[in-house]
Amino acid sequence: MSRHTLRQGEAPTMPRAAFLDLARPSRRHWLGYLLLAPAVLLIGLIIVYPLFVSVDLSFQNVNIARLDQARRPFTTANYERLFASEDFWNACWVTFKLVVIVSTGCFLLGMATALLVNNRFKGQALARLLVALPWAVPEVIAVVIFAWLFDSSFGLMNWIFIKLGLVDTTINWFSSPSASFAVVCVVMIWKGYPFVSIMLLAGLQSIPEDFYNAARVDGASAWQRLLNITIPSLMPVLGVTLVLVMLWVFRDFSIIYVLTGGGPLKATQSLSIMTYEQAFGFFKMGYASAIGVITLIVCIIASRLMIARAPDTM
Amino acid sequence: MAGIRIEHVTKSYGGLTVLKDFSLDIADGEFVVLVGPSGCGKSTMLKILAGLEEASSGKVTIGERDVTDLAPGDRDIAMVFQNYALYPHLTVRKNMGFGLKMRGTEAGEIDRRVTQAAKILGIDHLLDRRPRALSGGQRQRVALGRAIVREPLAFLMDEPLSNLDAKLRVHTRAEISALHKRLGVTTIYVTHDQTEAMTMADRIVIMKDGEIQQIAHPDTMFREPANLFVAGFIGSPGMNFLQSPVTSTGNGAEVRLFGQEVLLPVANASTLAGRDVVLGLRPEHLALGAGAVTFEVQPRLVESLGSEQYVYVDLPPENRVGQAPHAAADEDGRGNVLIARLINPDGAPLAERLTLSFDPARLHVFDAVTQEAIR
Amino acid sequence: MKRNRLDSVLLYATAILTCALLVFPIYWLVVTALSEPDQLRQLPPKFWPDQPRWGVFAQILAERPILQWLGNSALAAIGAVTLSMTVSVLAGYSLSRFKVRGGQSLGLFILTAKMLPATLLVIPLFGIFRQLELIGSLWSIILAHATLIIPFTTWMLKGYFDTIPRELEQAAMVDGCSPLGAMVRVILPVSAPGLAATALYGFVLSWSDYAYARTFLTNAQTNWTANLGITTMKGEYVSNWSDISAASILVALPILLIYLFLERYLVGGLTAGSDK
Repeated sequence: MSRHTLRQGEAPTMPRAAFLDLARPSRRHWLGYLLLAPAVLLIGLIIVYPLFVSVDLSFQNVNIARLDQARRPFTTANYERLFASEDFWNACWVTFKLVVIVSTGCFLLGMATALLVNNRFKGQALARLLVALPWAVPEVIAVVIFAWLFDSSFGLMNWIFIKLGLVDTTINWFSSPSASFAVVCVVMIWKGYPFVSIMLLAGLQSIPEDFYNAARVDGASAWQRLLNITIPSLMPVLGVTLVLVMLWVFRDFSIIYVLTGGGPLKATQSLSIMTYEQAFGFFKMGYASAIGVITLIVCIIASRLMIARAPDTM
Repeated sequence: MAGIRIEHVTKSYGGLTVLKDFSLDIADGEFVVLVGPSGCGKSTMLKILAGLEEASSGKVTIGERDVTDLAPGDRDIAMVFQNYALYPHLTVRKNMGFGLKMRGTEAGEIDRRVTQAAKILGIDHLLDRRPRALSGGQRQRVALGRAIVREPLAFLMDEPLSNLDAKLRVHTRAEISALHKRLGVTTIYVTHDQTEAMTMADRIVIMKDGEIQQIAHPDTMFREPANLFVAGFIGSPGMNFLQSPVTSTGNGAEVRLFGQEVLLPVANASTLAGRDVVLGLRPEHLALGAGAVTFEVQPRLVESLGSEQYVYVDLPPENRVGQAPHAAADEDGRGNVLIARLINPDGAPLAERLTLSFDPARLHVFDAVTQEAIR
Repeated sequence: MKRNRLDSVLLYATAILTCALLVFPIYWLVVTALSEPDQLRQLPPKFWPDQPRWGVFAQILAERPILQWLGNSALAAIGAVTLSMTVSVLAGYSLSRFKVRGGQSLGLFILTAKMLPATLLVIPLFGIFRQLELIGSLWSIILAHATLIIPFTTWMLKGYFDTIPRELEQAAMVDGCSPLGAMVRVILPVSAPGLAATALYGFVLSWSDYAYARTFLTNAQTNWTANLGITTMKGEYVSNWSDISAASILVALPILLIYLFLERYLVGGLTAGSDK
């Protein structure tokens, strides 16, 4: 068969403009830059530039952030005031307590549910879906649900507590500092554990069944299998998930703000709430930025720790 | 169809050089196989030919046209990938016609050529399926079909058989050869499998660490390996290597193998006196019973393959290939074992001690230091 | 693995009890919505209303601008997802396929940006948007949500593109495509499930936001998003829990439906995006 006749009907290859031809081997890497450009531009505009602005604000005595006004003189007054402020250290303590309690709660509940639905049984798929359902409830809605459950006059929880004989009179959950802190923890754990559950379940399902079969052949009990196979195999996922959950608790704003607004008596005022209150409650944006910058530094350190922990997933 | 000329092509990533001064002239219609262990640079060379990677220096010409910095699509070549790289979202028909469509061929012509190519490969009943619904062998054929409908100047094939099971691989190997005879299109074929290279190639280019070791016809490659690496790579089981110092005698030079003095079968052998050489002897050149050089051994292991037997024999310590840095013999621990391949044994179990022999004319002689062949 | 009878019973009992307990708050939301407000003020509480008032949804839609809120949330989410996806499909592809100088640092920065506290970013964004006169407009929300979404989607997409063999676009280029053509004609169609999962995830992120809406939209009632609307209902002097619950169900429903029907995609995206 002659090549000439077969080639009929085929348009001659159009020579591309030599300079703009990104298909050429020597030009192809240009495309890499070109594709990144929109992202770099947008991220620069809506993330990097604002970050600079907020760091800049934190060193000025500004009340309302107005970019069209001349820059105020450089001052470290915001930070000095911050470190001398009792409120700030209180917020740090509240945040710390929240991170520890909520992360622990999320982990225990997430781990337990993940192990539960990792068993094979009829309806496992449905159970898996239900167990992680709170993940799909927007935070604000979760707050609505629990605000009603813990309602001081007709809330279900008060009734249950009285029925169980735990208390003899209704508790006013949102006017007692320790009670409202407890409610915040409950809501955050309920909203946060499904993430742990989903992550750990994915981790569990990636452990080869052969590991367990080999252990069974060796006569390992269920408990030994959990300790010697499941937990070690999950370690990388556990580490990353733990950091992500802690960061979420650390930064979360909506749940506390809508549930208690930081009160009563600042008992639930975390760093996030304090930042927001100072910025948009008292319009002390320079001071608020200083708190924000502190939280940012903590977040960056934590995320760097996580990245260092999972280098192979990079 | 066209010849391909590769001139002084190199490739390095930062400080790492993966291809050193590669030059090769490929005649129109020739089937050239690039073969070598993984990491030898063969696939990199193929990607440079295809325009998928940029050469650090050098020049590539396809059919008199300088294509060194031309887009892959402008080179008029077709490529078959190891994992076939079929477009999963397109039917077989569209997969095969994709390249023609990109070139603006009219629909009727695409259809005609796809149907024709599918007939040649016996996949015309699969045209409306998606790659997911095909077996490995069928996918491989579609990949071949996608290459041939384009009727390109050259085919580039990157280990196209290594994802097939052993039986299918042998079958498809023969088919690709037949296809090449029928279409006569210049083909550059990359593989790590010396059997594929030996059976398919008009010429073999054998590579190691980014360098060409030898370019030759398969038979020449087998009979006259240029160095120890080539000698060890080509042939299965691989060539046996024995080391020995050379002593001169009245009528030439001798080495000592299995306690026997053996005359070196090379010209000017006496100039080698006092140096160490490595002697290569193919397993099939050892025979049971007495011969020109006869010795008695105690086999360590005998593998029977039915029509032939592999006898493993420990080399005497003095003949073990020493510290010399050479890849082929060391990699599979062949430095201190000799394999004899005995064809058509009568089936009787071999005795405890065996008498083996070989013809010294069959010995390959290599310099123990440079590892080059001495003829 | 064989289990004996007792183990089986125990397993089912635990599974049912756990699910019931954890899902109970959502169930209670439904019960509250369907109960007459008077009934809610009676003890002992009823665990299923005598006469479920199914009409509550129609009634609440008529009484409150919930449809408008939902529409605003949808607009903001679609806008933010479109913007973010456009940018991050290109960037994710570049990060996955090209060795761009500074690409790795950019990737790391984007990864860190996932951890940025919204309460910090909201302050300068407020200043910037005020200057641009975007406060009160949905555009402010679209841009602000893009800061939440882009870091996630870029990494999720990079991870997804990493799973697609490079040979696919190499084959397309040999077949005559330009690199961009190979991406558009081959890689993007092949990535459709990944793109859908990523977009859905971005949608969920945007839909769930409260902080930005609270800050930028408070004084623009017609532009309220659903979450903001719900919190204002909760903040009213006398809380009508029945109505609030009904409205909450309507707001949560889109995400719950996405989750229930497309769980596999969402969860795949969640785990893929989060271990990076």
